[in-house]
Amino acid sequence: MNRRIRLYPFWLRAWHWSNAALFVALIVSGVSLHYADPSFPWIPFRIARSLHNVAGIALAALYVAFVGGNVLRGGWRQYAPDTTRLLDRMRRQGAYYLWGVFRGEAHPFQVTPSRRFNPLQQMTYLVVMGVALPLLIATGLLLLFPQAAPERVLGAGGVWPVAVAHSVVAFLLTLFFLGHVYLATMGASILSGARGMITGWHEPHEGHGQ
Amino acid sequence: MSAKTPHAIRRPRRWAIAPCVAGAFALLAAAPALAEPAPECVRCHGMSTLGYQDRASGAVVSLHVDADAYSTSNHADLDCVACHKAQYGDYPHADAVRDEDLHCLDCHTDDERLARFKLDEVGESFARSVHVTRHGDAFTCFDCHDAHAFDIARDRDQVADVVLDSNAICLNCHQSTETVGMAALAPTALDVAHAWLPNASLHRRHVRCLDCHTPDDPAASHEILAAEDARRACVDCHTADSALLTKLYRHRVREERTRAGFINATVFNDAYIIGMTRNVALDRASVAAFVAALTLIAAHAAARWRATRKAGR
Repeated sequence: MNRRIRLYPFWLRAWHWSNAALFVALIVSGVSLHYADPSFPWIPFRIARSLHNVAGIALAALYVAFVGGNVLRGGWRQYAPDTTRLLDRMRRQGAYYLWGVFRGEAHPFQVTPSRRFNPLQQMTYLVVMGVALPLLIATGLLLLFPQAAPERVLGAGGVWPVAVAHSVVAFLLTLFFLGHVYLATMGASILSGARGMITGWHEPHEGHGQ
Repeated sequence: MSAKTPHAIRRPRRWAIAPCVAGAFALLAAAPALAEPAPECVRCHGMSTLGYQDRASGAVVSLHVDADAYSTSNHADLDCVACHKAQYGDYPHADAVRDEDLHCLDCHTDDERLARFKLDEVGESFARSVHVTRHGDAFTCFDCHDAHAFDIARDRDQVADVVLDSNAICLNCHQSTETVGMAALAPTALDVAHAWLPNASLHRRHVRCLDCHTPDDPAASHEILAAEDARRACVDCHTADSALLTKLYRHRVREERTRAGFINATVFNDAYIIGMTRNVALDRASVAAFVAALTLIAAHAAARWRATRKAGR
């Protein structure tokens, strides 16, 4: 059996699970607020609002901690894309997900401490952590302090483009969340991905490509 | 007093006699209907400082009429004496003119031009309002509506302007007048009463006091509710079938339906109201994408499971 690799430091695991819990709370309270209906009170509006505000502020604070931790501990290098034949490598990873996995093919890229992500993961996380989450937090803060939003945008009320952007980005991140949870089951065993994020140890697959 | 007319709206405030004085001059001049108060009346009542101190209450009662506001008001075509019929021929006016009794419904009952405003309903709902039940006859139409400036047809493109105008009427009495020194920084009674309301100042700028302080029934537009009876359930407004659609947005929604058939256009253009402002296309796209993602994941998982079983055999 391949040797386990120490992959996730404690601070990263703590961030990951706190972030996940807050994200679930934000999805549930956010959907409840957007589709608020007195005849179907999923979560009472006032509670959903408080939950969304508290979880949103906590998520923003955690994001700052995440960026700080990555800068201090060098984790940012995991997100710096290696552009050498990037598209080809992304295609290979995509091909594995689309049919290689059904044929019992080996994962095309081996996980190492200096390269945790496969090329598709790396680009997705770069967009999620570098663009989508900051945008979600910025629009969320503007909704929390709507007086800071522009009074009018293109002749319409200034808050609603912010709110629509917040909803769209939140929804895209919810889709990412679904995909992320599912792809986490594609490790050495169904639960090894989740287990690795709890213990910090990555369980290597039986066969590997590069 | 007619039986069907609520008593409370038939008693004017004493300051309401102000234009009566102007009417006397107009009578003397035998002027035809004018687009502004008669010059004879305006000569005195156009002065913003004209007033007197009420002996009973000690309050300064203004007798000023803003001629500019009057000339653009709904009553602009009426001469002063059309309403103020007491004896204003003498100057100074006799004390008796203070007892002149003016009532909105004297003119506004059985008037076909005003039928759409359903003033009978207005009168009935006003009689049930907290203003009347607590203050009785002392509270009249004129405490909120200035007959010399009233203009229901004023062009208000922006809902924010409607809110500003409407709330200004309430705040005229309900807001602290302390505007200087440390007192101006302290929370007013109004702030304390609305401390439970999230983003209270934002609400105050974007919805009318009336939207929470009147019952759901559109016919009860003048039945002002006391704090303890007012709306407190956020979801009454923050939902697709928002109470605001039959209140603040009532007329605009009707206009938009006629013009574009798209209710959200109105709401989108003015404010984003969480739970109420929804883009149908975006909502449908979200649900479709969510279902598609779950279907893909389920299909992929099923194929993996099948491949694993096959490999096991």
